[in-house]
Amino acid sequence: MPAVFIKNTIRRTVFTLIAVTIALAVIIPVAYFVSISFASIYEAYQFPARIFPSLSYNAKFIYNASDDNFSLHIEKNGIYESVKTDSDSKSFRTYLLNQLNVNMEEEHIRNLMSEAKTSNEIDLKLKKDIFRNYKIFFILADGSIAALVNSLQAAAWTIVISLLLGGTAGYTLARMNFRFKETLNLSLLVVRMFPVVAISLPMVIYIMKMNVYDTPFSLALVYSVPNIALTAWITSSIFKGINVELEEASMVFGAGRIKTFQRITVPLAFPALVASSLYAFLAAWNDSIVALIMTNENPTLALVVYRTVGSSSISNIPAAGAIILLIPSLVFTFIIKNYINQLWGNVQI
Amino acid sequence: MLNRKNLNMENRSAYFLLFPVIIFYAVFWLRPVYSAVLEAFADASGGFSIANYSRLLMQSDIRNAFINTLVFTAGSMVIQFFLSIGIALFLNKKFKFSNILLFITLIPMAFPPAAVGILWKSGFYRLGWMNSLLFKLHLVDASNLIDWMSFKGLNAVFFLTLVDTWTVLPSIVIIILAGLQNLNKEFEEAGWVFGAKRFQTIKDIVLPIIRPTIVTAMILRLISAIQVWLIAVMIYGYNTVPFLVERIAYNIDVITFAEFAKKDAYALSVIVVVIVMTAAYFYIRISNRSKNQEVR
Repeated sequence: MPAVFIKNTIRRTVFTLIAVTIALAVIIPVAYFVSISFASIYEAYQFPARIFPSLSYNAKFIYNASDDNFSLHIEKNGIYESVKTDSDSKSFRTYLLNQLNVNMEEEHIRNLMSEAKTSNEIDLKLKKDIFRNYKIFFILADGSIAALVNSLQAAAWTIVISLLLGGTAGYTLARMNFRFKETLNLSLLVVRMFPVVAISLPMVIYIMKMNVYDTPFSLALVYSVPNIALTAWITSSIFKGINVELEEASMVFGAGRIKTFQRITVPLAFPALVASSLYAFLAAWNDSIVALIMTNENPTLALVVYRTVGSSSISNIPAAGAIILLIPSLVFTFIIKNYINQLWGNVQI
Repeated sequence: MLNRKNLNMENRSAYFLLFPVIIFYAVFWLRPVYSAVLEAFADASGGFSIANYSRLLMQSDIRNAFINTLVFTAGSMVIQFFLSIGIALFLNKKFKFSNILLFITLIPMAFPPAAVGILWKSGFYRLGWMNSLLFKLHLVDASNLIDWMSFKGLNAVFFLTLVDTWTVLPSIVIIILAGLQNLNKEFEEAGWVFGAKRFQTIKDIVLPIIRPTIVTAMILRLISAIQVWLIAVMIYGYNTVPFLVERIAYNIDVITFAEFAKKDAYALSVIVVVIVMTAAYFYIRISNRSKNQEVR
């Protein structure tokens, strides 16, 4: 009996250990990453880095009578460390804002100074402006908002093109018989896997001739190449699942093919259309190589995030940009995650 | 009951509906690919030549890019093969919190490559989170931190393999998990009835049945592993770890106006197309075969 008990305990322990390891392998990097996106420059240079973001600093404001100036001390592992000594309230404000992400009015600082003069030392809790890195990424970094708009436009065009062309192809494949059906199916599968990088190089020349160089629309033309095929595949399997008799009934009652399509088929296929749109969005949103090749002064957000890394030696503001890039991806990926296993797992040609 | 006239009618309206798609692909897929191939095999005067490729092979960076891409692809496929099967089998069991664990496991799949690059870059700094973590676990001294970004050559490729595995593993796991969930439980039970141990059941019954699923997942991995570039450039910068597509980006982004930059980019992109299309060919063959088996 004890032997069985011990065996079970060991099994359960190993099982739990594996589960915890898998979870931690994801959670720890993500937690550090999120924490860095909220870190001030001062914090970014601290070692070891924090796994959870801080909301405030424990600080002391001390008056040095001998030099007639003030020094700011910040707590680090229980010890207060002087980080800034000055007599000017303005330079304190700049330091607090730029290095510590603390937004404190100059007047407040002057009050602190006079208070420190009388009592020599004040204990403070400096509250961080938590989203400062995000504000910097958008407001101070040049062109981030324009890049965000470009990304959204490219995604919107990709969705429109993919739904219109891919949707009709999917409907045709599901509902009609024609001679080159197999060939079309096969080519759509090939296109889905085709490396778009090879299209974007020559496309630069074509879109220059079309006068749409450096526009989100031109990016969407390339993103649409695999996405039309994907949409066709998703929608055709859905259209196949919609009962033809429903459509026939509608036509018996005098609705034309187009009206039937509008009133019956599209509403039933709606979830699939949403899923395909989200796929198209993600393809445009996550891409960087096509945007790198095909844009000049109008980059997409992913490209801007990629470029912020090269120009900085710490990664707090790039991380904030990356989190902004991540949020829509995260939401949409989890909406369509049930499609992913059908997507490639059981392919039908 | 199809009569000839009916089929003709349907043929015609099908072609009518498909016309825009076909035009789109002719203009924005076939034509660019055609001109890419033309560019790749043309010399300065426009005649056919393989000079572009012999010039590519002369460059040591490009040769390294081939080797690195090969090592990266093979390495990440091997690691991800074992890990994804293991994790999928593990997650396939129903236990307390298994849904939450599945949710957590899938998170990295949603990361755009640029976000992955920054996540790991912030870990690879000397004072970054990887050293912080090791320090907190008492695995390194504060005086003796690991300089992750100083790694070069195949060591760097190895780290990129791990970064890539972290990112893409969920997308393989989810495909294999779907295969496992579609698996008829009776096959497994039959194995147990005949006295097979759990490991044996998995090895001799479960894995052979879901083999097509695993193979297709791995081929899809191969296709995207060959096109790796962004994480390499974001973590190590250009030139440290050359890859095939990294070289394309380098030619376009950095040495834009060099004499052969464009030509090299074209020639490399055609190589990428050939590799990917070969993989796609095997993908199609395998999925066809498994479909035929199902029919039988």
